[in-house]
Amino acid sequence: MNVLANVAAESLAGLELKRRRKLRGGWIVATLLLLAVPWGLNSTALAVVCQICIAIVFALSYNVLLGQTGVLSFGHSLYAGCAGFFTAHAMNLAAKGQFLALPVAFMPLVGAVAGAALGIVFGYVASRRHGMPFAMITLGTVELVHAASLMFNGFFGGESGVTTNRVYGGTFAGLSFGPQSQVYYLILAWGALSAFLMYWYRFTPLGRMSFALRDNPARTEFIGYDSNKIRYLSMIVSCIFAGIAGSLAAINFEIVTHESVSVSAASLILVYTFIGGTTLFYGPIIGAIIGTLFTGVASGIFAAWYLYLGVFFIAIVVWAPTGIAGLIDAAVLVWKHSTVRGLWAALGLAFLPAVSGVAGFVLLTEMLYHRTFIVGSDTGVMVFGITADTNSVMHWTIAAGLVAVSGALFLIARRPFRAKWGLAQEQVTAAVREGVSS
Amino acid sequence: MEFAIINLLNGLSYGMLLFMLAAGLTLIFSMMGVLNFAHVSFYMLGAYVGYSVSLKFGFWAGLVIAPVLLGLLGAAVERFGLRSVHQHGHIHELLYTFGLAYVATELVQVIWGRAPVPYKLPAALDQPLFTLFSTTFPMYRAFMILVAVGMLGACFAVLKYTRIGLVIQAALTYPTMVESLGHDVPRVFMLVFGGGSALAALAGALGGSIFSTDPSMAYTIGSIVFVVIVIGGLGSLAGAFVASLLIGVVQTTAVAVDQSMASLLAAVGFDLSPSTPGYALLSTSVAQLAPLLPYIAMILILTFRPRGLLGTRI
Repeated sequence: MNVLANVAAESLAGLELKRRRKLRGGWIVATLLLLAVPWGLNSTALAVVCQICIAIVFALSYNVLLGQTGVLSFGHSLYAGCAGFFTAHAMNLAAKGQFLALPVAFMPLVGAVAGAALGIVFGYVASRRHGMPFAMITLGTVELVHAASLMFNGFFGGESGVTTNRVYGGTFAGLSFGPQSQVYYLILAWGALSAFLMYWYRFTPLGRMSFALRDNPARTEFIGYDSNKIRYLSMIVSCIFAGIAGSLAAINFEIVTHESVSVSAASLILVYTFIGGTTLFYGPIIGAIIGTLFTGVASGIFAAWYLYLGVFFIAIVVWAPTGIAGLIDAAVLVWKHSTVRGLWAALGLAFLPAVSGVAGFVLLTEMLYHRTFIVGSDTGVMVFGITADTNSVMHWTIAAGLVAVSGALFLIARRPFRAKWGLAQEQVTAAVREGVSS
Repeated sequence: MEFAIINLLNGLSYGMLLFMLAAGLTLIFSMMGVLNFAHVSFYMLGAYVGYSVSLKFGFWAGLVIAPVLLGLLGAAVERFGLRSVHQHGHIHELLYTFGLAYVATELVQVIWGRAPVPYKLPAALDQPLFTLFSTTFPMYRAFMILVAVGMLGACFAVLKYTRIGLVIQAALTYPTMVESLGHDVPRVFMLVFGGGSALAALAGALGGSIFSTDPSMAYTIGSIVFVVIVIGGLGSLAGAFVASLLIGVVQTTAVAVDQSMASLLAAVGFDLSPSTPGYALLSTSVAQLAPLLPYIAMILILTFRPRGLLGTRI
């Protein structure tokens, strides 16, 4: 895995340039599919899709820092959240005819400008450091602003937040942006534009230098680039898109609260991005989709969804440090270059007990949560369509037994898979090396 | 005068508590290069385990058992978790501890519920130590200071005068060199991580009974402790000590000051009205600003003295 990551990093430029052409077709198909979304979904599902789009922009902007420049920020919600507040105020002013009476379709520009301004101010302090101090400074600044947000009600609206209304000042190109489907197109347009710009940014000189800074800060400095300046500029770029995401959220929900500038919002986007994978451009997109589904959909089904997200995150950090995108990438490379026999069968054999083990773990956790948080005579808890009784020793035994047996089976089944996977990785490494050098 | 002395003592006891956390955190940081987000989770778990043990065997047993148990848990986390993540780099190690902190908060809620638990002070210490004019100083706070000083004195002695302490000090700056001299550096890491966790748990068992023991306690103190080690200078124990006491005293004093910029200006003859620009900011009292002060201090320190008060490296 690690060897592969190194090779992938070395050959990133080459591989990515090769992929560019292929991806172009993918972009078009994806755009057409996304345009058709409102016809195929009911309003609840459409609302979730809107949230996913916003989360994608936010996660991509976060990855400009984490994946591309290699600095870990704990305060990214600060830029999106504050830009959201600025947008909400701008919309309220525009509705009164002040502030250029900017139509709602162009409100994300306010977010972009606000994001850039915030990046210029806060980035100045943070970007002079890297590594752990950078993480702590960003944590400190977001804590500072969050604590202040509950103090200055004029701008942040106190506990209840700032409400706004996106329908004002007539229609724009025949759209009032009242219905969710029209807002969806607004979010999609701005989201696609932002995603495209962030993709393009990777190939600009500044974008390439931020990769260089991530991979080898000393060498970057040595050839005459100022690492602080690269970090500062990257941060401003990242903040601009975070600001757009914040604006879109303000337009979508028509409310911005202090929650959006909190550390928990920042850590959530960190978790999403990392789960998706930071080394590849599409990683944060996957992460945003999974993460939003987790918070938006799984939270309605499972009481302990927050715990599952945490455990899932730890599992990714330990076993798949390049995230889900990294796994997909590794699997594709193995599929193309490896001749190891029985690899996929071994994977399937290890996968089955893993699934049943996770199911057992979820069952056990849900029963535990039910026992702690639901007081009274209601002892039945619905998991996966079956009802478990928290008073029955039998049910506890079954759940615990499922975890134990699956765990043991998994430990046995993963051995042959590991050996085969290791072999396959060697073949892939050799093939990629050859491909890069030729 | 009375106000000043009592506040100073309260700040001192809070500052010592902060230092018990910051000491472990800054040691782990300088040794392993990892900002341990789970550190304050050990503080929280220490308080909860201390509470549970105190229900059965009394307060004193809790004060001893909680640090021992969580020290072992900390060592296990390093040995079986962090060590395997180490190969992927510091950011992954940090995120691993971040995930642990996330899960610990949830687990605490499942086991002990979301409401604060009634962690009682021992009867022997639940009385005033002395009364100064009309304000009393509780005996328990004095006890906290005593335990903290004793504990930290012991740690200092171990670090300074024992063989393992010397190896730890050497491993702080040149881990690879120490390893080539034949010392088992990973084991030293495990010891430091376990020891730091035990210190944090002791702080939790001490502080949980006088402050609140609830699932948000880790988060509340966590960001302050991070600020403390940045202000003190990352990796500097002495700096962490100075910064802990500073933040402790500033925070406890600030919440008691009801003055604001506006009232200060009024005292020198400028009366402000709500129509003055920036009135919201000017009329905010120091007490209201208290939660902001540590962060403002951190940003100022980082801007004007990036290596912190007593730090040596940037």
